[in-house]
Amino acid sequence: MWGRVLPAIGLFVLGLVIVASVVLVGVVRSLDAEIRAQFDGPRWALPARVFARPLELYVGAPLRIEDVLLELDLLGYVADGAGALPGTFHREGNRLRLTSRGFRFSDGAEPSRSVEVGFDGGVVERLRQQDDGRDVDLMRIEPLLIGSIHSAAAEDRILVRLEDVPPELIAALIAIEDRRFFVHRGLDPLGIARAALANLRAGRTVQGGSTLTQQLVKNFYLTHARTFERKLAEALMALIIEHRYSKFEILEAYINEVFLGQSGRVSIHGFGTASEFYFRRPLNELRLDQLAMLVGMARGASFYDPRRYPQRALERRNLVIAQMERLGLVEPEAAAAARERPIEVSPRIPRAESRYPAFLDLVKRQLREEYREADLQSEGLRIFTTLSPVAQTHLERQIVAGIAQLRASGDGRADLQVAAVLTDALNGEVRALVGDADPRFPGFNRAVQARRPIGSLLKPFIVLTALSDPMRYSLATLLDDSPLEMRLPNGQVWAPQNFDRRFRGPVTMWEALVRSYNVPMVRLSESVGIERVLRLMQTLGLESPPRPVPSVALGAVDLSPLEVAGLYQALANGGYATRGRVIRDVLDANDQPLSHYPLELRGAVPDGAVYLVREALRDAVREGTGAAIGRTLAPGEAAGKTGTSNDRRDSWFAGFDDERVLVVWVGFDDNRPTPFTGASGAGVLWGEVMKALGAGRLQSQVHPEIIWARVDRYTGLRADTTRCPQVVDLPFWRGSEPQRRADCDFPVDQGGDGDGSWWQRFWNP
Amino acid sequence: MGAHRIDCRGVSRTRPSRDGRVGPWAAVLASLALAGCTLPMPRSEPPPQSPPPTLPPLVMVPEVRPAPQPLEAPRRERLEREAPATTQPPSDAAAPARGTESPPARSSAVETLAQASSEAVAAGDLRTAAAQLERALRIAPRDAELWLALAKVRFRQGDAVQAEQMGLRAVQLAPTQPAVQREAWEVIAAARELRGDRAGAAQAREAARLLVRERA
Repeated sequence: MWGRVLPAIGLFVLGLVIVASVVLVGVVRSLDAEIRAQFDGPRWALPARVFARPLELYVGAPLRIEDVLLELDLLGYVADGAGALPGTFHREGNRLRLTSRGFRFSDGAEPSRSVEVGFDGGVVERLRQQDDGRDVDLMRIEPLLIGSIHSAAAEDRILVRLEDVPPELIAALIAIEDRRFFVHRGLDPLGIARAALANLRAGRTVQGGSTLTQQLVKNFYLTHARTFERKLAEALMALIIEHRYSKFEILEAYINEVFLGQSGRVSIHGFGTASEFYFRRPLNELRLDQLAMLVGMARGASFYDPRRYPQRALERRNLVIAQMERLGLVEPEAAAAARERPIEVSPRIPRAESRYPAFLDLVKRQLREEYREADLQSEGLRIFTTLSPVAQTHLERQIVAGIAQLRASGDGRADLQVAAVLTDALNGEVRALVGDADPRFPGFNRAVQARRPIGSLLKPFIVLTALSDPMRYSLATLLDDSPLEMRLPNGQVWAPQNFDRRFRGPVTMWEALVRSYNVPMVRLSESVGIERVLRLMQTLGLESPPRPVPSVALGAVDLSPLEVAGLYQALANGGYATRGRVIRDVLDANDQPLSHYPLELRGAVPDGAVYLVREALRDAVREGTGAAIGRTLAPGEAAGKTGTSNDRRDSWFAGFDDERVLVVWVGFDDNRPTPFTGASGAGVLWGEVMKALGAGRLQSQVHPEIIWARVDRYTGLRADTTRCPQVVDLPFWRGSEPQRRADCDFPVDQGGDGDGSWWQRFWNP
Repeated sequence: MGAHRIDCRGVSRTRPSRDGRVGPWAAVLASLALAGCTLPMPRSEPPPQSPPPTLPPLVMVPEVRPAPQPLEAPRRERLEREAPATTQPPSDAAAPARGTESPPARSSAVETLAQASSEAVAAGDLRTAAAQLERALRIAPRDAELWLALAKVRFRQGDAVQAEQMGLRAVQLAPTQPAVQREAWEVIAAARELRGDRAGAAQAREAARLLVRERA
């Protein structure tokens, strides 16, 4: 009988074994395929990174030492008394020693440099290498990361390569998580046994028996179900991974994958990301104690969160350090010193949002015109923008302080809002942007989205149109400031008023602009033709012109602050319209260029006419409606225009100096009247911002076709002597300056200039 | 348009296209003005839709910002105007003789970038050449030679519109550098030819020729 049963049993067992093998092979193959798909394909969805402009250092750069220090602080640089290591600096009076971090730009790699920078006034006057004192022509400090664009899954990851990881980190990881990592084949029975023992002794889980490979599998592939089948699958996959990939590849994957924190809806993965998230510095600049803290968090990022549970984080960190010491991976003195240090982490900055939401919003709008959302969120694009963190900081500080003052200046102003745009005067790059009285708030971006009537901001363009025809108009041309009634196309009668509801009779065009008189400007606009004014503004970048009705002359045109900046750009730029740029370059994850947004010019208006308007706007700040600003800055060193719309619902100031164009808007979101004019609201903020930026230089230029002449303020006629009581120097196209002399210019007993005096008596009774 | 995707929307598609054609009168006036006559501007023309930089070179003396000294310059000028006027008409007071001032010395940073750009052009890497020049222009935005160099790169990249615009910018910024202006007019002429604007190209060549004669 046994002779028949045994073979039957044997066959049965054999059959079982065969079936099991087949199943096992199938399982292994499918797991293998899964592993390879993850490891060999694009491993992670990387968010797009958005960078500010890099700070350029060169002899002659118009930088103040305080501003460079501000930039370094934002970049997480540390004052270590020497400034010889990447990410450190040292200040001595007017000299700064610093070492930049290397960075790959669109046009190549910028190496890390140790330099000494000398400042004189607001200018860099010396730039030398630290080691041999040789002059450095030009260098860039790495650009500040100002935001990331994440997918809904929202994992944040700053990838690091294994060769860039500090050895102490690897040592700590091995010591505390998987002592036999380099020896085992994926599973570590000894480790499991040791952990079980330690856990028993401690009464709770202090050690895990999983290898780093197993933990990688757990993070990478599977959800968090802890069933037996899962554990089995995990073990199998760990074995497969070890078979297919080297220890180094596995380690690198683990280092970039491990979950190390949560910031709102964004999860922090990898030590590179965690280093920035907790310490605001790159991984290779961390100390032993900081690295040990991060490694300690691998076991439970929330449980050991240093911001919420600093004591736990400290104990865990010291445990890691002690373990490293026990295994001989660190010297006792170094270990002791590291344990002495307190836990110091930077305050939390939300990762999904940017510090500069208004600017980032503008960047995204431009990107979405060219890139799909999916690509933006997962392809690891690198986007280089024009933002200056230094300018942005100054702008924000003054805007926040200024709006707080305006809000507190009376009742019913607590919800007063503001927007501001700062661009480079010559190339139109947007340097700073504020869209809300709370610059951190990522809501309605008024700088871009709020289109409001621009009021008197339009007047310089009427004057510009007129002055493009110098045989008919000059700044001395008299305009009539007297009651005016016009019949509008819809049949209604319109009687525009000046701000003070007074009329002054004939005034020069210059005065009408500088003092922002409404009625003469309406007359001028009718005379040159409002259609021509709008066409000129279109050439300067106005995108959707309004219907050419007379009230347009008084600024019944809705524009955003960004659009206004674009128009005033041409006034600052000698008549060239430059498209407001926010992005310079877009690179893919491998630093290959995808898009370049080039510098472009559009010749718009003759620069002679622009010269004339510019000088009039300089006078507007010196003594006209913008005079309050002329007192904040040095007089004559900025040009600009106040803008007050109907019922004071909008308070604007738009102006520029040699380097910057700045537009500020103040108003209520619900469009109700404010108590402010352009001068007393936006203008005040404008002056404070420009002062904080160190601005205020508007150099006189010389133009071969423009001559200056002294004229009598009231009649706009020439004043060659000192007899006229009120005179002003005005620029003119050569040949368009007034030919006749003013009456007051002649000695009293002389009748005047023949016919001229009769005319003058007629107009000036 | 070369290796880069330009956002052409705002520039070429929504603006009325410029054909740069100017009537013969303007050409004559241009030549006369260039020769140094002080003729007034043509009268009563409505500002053209894309007002023409083809008018007589309207130039401004660049004031590049080097060390702190130039602070004195504007004030000195103002003082001159404030002085009690004589019987002489003030019209000549402010205009300096042409060619007496030279542009400020270039910083070594700009030199380095300009050099790198030339090398890139020689190596056929126009994209890098343009990037270097754009970077240099951020440092010295009023340097006429940089604009001229960038105009040439744009021309080589096939961007005739920008080549012309930047050439005109170079002319505008180089009143004391007739050699730069002449070269710029030649680039403008070539760009206009490329766009099919024969008349405009002829005017530009004429402008260049007059500059040569002036120097002689």
